[in-house]
Amino acid sequence: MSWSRREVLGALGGGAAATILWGCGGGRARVVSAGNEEEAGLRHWLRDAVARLAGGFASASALAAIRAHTVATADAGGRSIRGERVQSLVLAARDAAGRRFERVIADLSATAIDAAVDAMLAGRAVAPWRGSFKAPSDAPFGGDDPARARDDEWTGRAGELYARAEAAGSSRVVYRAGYVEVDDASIWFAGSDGADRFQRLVRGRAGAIFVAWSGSRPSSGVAESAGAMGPAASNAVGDADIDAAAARALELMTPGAAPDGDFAIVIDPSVAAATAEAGVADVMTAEAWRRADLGARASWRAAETLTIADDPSAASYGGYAFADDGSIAARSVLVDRGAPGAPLAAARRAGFAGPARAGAAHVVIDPGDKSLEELQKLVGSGLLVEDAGVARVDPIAWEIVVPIGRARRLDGGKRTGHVFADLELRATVPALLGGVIGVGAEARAFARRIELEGEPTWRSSSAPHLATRARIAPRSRRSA
Amino acid sequence: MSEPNSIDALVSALRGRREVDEWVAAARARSITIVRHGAGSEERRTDDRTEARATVHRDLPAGRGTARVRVIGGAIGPALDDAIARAVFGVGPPWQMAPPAAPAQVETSDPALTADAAEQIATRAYAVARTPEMTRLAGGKVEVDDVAVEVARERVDLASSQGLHVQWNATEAHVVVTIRANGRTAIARARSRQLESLGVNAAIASAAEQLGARAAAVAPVPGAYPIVMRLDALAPCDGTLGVWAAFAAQADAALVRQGLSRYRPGHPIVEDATQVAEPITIVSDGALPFGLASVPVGDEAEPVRRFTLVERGVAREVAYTQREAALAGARPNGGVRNLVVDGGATPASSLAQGGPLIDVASFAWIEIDPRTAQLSAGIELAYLRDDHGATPITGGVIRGDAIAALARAVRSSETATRGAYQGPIAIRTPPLELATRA
Repeated sequence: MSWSRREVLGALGGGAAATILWGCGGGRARVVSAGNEEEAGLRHWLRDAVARLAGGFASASALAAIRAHTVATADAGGRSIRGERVQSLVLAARDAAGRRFERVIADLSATAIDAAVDAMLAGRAVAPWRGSFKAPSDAPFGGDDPARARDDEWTGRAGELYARAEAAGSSRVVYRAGYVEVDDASIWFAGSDGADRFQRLVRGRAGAIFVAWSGSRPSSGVAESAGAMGPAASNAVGDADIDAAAARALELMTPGAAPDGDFAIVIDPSVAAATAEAGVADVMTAEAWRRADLGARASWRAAETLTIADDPSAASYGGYAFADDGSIAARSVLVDRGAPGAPLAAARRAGFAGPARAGAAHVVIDPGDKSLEELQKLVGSGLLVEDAGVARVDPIAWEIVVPIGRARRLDGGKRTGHVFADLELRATVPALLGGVIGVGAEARAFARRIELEGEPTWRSSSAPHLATRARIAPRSRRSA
Repeated sequence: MSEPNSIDALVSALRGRREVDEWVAAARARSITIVRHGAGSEERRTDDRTEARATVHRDLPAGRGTARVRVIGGAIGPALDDAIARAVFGVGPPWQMAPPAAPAQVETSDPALTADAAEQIATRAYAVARTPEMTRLAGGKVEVDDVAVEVARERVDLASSQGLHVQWNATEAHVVVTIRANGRTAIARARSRQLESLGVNAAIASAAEQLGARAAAVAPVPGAYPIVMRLDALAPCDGTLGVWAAFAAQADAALVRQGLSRYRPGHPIVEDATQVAEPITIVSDGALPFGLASVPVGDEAEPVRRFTLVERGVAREVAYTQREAALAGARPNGGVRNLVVDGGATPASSLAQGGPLIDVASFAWIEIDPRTAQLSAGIELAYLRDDHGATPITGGVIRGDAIAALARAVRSSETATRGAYQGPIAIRTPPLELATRA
């Protein structure tokens, strides 16, 4: 992973503060939202709203969310903290002609919900709804509860990570930071198919970042833990991870010409995951697949050793119990032993309030049976490429470009010690995945919080090493 | 779960808290209408929500404690209580907000962008796509797969502890049209604060041209070529800054202060930037009429000011937030907003002469490494211009140092305004690498 300070702190909204106050005490514990009267009534109001809407439309649903987002950062400039609380209700209905209508409000009172339903039903013939709701289905959160975190705990944990980062690396590290970020969302769904569901999704990330100069180029390393957990995500960042991140930022590159050409390669889990997310899951949505020149590709084949799926039911940062269209989380196989499966259909809404669009939550490449050493032997002479940046895909040409933080030269299946930075992998997705000759046995997980126009989407992925073939070239050739 | 939070309620709550030394509060009432037609379905969506946000500063023996909070729905009170309590633990060096200054006078709202405008724009997009001109450009009958139109109207109230109170309205339309011809699809995008300058017709024409050209397109031959970038490449229709984003990322005061940026005020942006025939000048202008990044004041009540990022090849000012400005002894300027780039002396029609060169109509994606300003951009449609004429190409990646390429580029004398950009309608860079997957 290669994050700059700007990217990390920009994404986290931090970058401030000086004196380290960890251990100075203070701070209250408070429960943010559990159990107040409105929340207790919300479930009933949603059912009432759906029952009323279903009397005027062919189908109807209601998705309500109350979410809190807290970010704390610490660096040499001090500590910072930012929080948000967002409520939303999406009322959705479809008429007999298939036309969809949606209304989004933020006021979750019975009066406001009633008024929103009135507005959707205005001018329509309304009959009593003859359906009924099934027994409620709940998916509570059982981990460390962020709503019970003390005020000083957030910056304290970020400060502790920063302090641990301070103890790692050398004076060549020019920037260090610690961060903790947690989203805590309670979500209710009711639908005219009788669904009455609740889930609480807690998603946490915590880590330490290092930036050092490598010649004229900044080089970074990140140690991060993420998952369905609260602020205790910081406990999962191990000392070995922090040391490895510092070492990564400080790693000296081999002087001379960087690799540039077609190589047999082993891609590390970050590169494999970036490829599966951007190159497969984002292209194989029901929406994208409708495009004439994308859907025609249903005949492509990946290597038979490859199975790629979206599995939101797995315990993960991006996972859920039910999607934002109310559908129960289920594994959706996108590539089944090389053969393409059905496109993704489960709908997600950015921030639980945006327009519903098919999208992946937890993209998984199933592990194989090879150790990294065995994969390197399969490759023989080539490169081990690591640390993916944000992959870009041209959906028409189905070409992918993945920024690569490191490439290590392999000879006879062993690392020669030559290491190069700032490269990129380029390939068509079918060629890259069709050329896989080995799949690693151990997978690593990655988490991403993607915020667009203030509305977040959470996604994670899990992938092993893969042995394949692609064009590797330097990113930093200066020809202008 | 109470009524939406008004600026009056926010100001009243903050004024009553003695432990808060300085604060900024804002209420934003937003109404978004989305109309979507496609694949036999229709969708109409309204989103009416009010956002309240506040930044609270507490001056403590250890320094200044700051916390930020944003609330949509529900009462702001408990969230403010949380923020005020948490500010004690978010402490940095002491600083104070700059004295209030007059907000920028800027047009950000077009009364023609009503909720009904979304339906009208969608209907017009269908009609435009089906004109004979589009059939001609696409080389076949054009069908519309999907039209999505979003019209947002908002009213913002912003107040600060220093007595500043600013109100403004803003509008924005965002259109995405997927068209199809001869088994190929292309996406037309347009985004603007103003109905008149939305440019849906031009966006659809550009997508239709892409469909026509792709039928004859060949894979590019890798090598180093001068690159001509047209307006769709310089100011992408989605409203982003395109290749110019390199300057916005580098001119961050915090990065410059810590030596983490290439940008050094007072120094040439690249070695020979002042020696080229037309040294580049770039200004951040947050008051550009209907600019997508235009706003009277920044989120932290910074007055938005026009400031020079690059003057004839030399880096000048950086983007200052309230805090960075105070720490640097400078005045806040509201950050990098719309970019205004000086035109050159060469007609656009002359830029593509003297090949071989790559004339880029549009990029599929643009990636600028914020640390190094390294450009990597996937070609959606370009033309290889050489002795044989113009051959359409698609695929391939253009790479190079964005700052060096833009500093040394020849810029067209004709200029245009689009989204958050005002500047030349075309530029010609020195040779950049065109790479392919092969």
